[in-house]
Amino acid sequence: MGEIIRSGIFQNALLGGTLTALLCAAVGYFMVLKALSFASEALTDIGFAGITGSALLGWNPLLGMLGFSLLAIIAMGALRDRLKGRDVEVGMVLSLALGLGVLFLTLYAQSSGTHASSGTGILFGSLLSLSGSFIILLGVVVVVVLAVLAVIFRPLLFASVDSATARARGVPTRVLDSVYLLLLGVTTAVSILSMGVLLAFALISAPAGAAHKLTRHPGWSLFVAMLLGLGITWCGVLVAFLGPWKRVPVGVYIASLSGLVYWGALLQARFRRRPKREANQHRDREIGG
Amino acid sequence: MGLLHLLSYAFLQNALAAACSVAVCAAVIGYFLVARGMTFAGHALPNIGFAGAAGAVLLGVSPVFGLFCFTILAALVFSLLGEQVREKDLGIGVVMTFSLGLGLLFLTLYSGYAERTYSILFGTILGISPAEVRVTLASSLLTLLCIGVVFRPLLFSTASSESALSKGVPVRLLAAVFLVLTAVTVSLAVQVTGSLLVFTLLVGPAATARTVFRRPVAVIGLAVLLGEVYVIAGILLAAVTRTLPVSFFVATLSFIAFVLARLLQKGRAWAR
Repeated sequence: MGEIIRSGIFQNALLGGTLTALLCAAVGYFMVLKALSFASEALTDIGFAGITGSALLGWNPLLGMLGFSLLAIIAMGALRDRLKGRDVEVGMVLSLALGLGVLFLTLYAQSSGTHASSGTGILFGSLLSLSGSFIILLGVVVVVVLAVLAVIFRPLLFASVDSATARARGVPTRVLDSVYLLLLGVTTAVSILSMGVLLAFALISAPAGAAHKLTRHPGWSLFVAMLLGLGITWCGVLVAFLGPWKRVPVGVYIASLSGLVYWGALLQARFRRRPKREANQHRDREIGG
Repeated sequence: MGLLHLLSYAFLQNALAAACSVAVCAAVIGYFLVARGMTFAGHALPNIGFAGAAGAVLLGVSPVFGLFCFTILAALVFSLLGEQVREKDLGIGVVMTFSLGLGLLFLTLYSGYAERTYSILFGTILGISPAEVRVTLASSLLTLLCIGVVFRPLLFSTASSESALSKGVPVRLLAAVFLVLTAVTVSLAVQVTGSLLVFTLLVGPAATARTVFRRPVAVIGLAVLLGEVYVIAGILLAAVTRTLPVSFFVATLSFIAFVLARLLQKGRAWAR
């Protein structure tokens, strides 16, 4: 056991997972506020097209993905000025990107003689192949993204909760939205490289979604989201490395834990709301009487 | 000349017949999906079906059972998610992630080579048998019949759920029935076309048709027509190029048509 903990693979996986979880939870907090679940899921799939395209053309995968995400964000935004709830534009860009992804994958498989199922590796990813230099890159990205979020936190929060009022008060909502989407694009790109398409979306959506259910206070909610993201990732990595089922990849644990945490928070919110309403009725009756 | 020669191949005829019947169903279902703001569900259900197929392969039964179980179960969960975009999309996303996690587990536990499972994810239409074509045709007809039965109330509740509710239309039940029908269509189509193409056929034609017409029947008619054009053109282009996937052509065609329709709409609004 001690041997596993001291091994470089385990330490890199834990460190990379920690950084990715923090990044995803912080960015995911605003994703939930802005109701951009579909757009962010689309961005992770678009990252898939970016990564296969870069493999085909021999580009740096991170730069290829960032380029693809940027184009996709511009396309989604150009087709409609506000993304919220308008899922058709997102869907069209997503379907084009997936089509390109399949094309790239087919061409890549033909040119390199591998089977098209090698694409599932990118989809499901693994934390086991993180290099030291990638962890440093990840660390830099986390610091930069969190710093930008900290600087624009209050206006972005205002613009996300009530964009009409924020605009009336002179908050540059369009600029803020663009900056946020850029951060979301960068976050999905690095998260896909560290954890794969599936887990990147899991860690962006589930911890933040659960935190929104657990508390309404913005600062607390962000904190809880990060805590949940860390908890899910650590549990997943620890069970995958130290648990008895050696063949089961870490993605299985992280994906299913994310789901359980979200549904747990949903149930908790449902049960908590009911007594409060009854208490209010009781109070109203007393006031009325 | 080359095209006519290609058309005499049986595999191409099978592909065209199956794809055309799937495209009709997908366009009709897709109209309601887009109008109800459930595009994400159209993306999630095929992926969830993939997980179900992986589970069925692990248990040693036909992938079809897994597909149906998982997608119908997911559809019932989706119908409980409520109307608010934030909650609904988050819920769909979490269900999808969870089932893909399960799918990954099934794939790892299965020691054999899960060729059929992968073909559901990235699938290709150019390899289906005449028997599969017949099953696809029959089930497409059945699905269309079911939609025909609930067509008017479904249309009413899609246009305005409040007034439908006040007129005594069982809105929630209809939503559940519709999503189950979507799940059935997706499960049938996914085996023929792969999960990506199902999503494109659901969303692409309906999205474009909605920018051209307003009346639901006209939109559905145009969507069906567009869907047919996309799949036929996609399959023929793929057959001519020999190596490139059908789904790429269909996705690209439907995206180009959508952008053109949008530009046309903007131009008309600007001219006015």
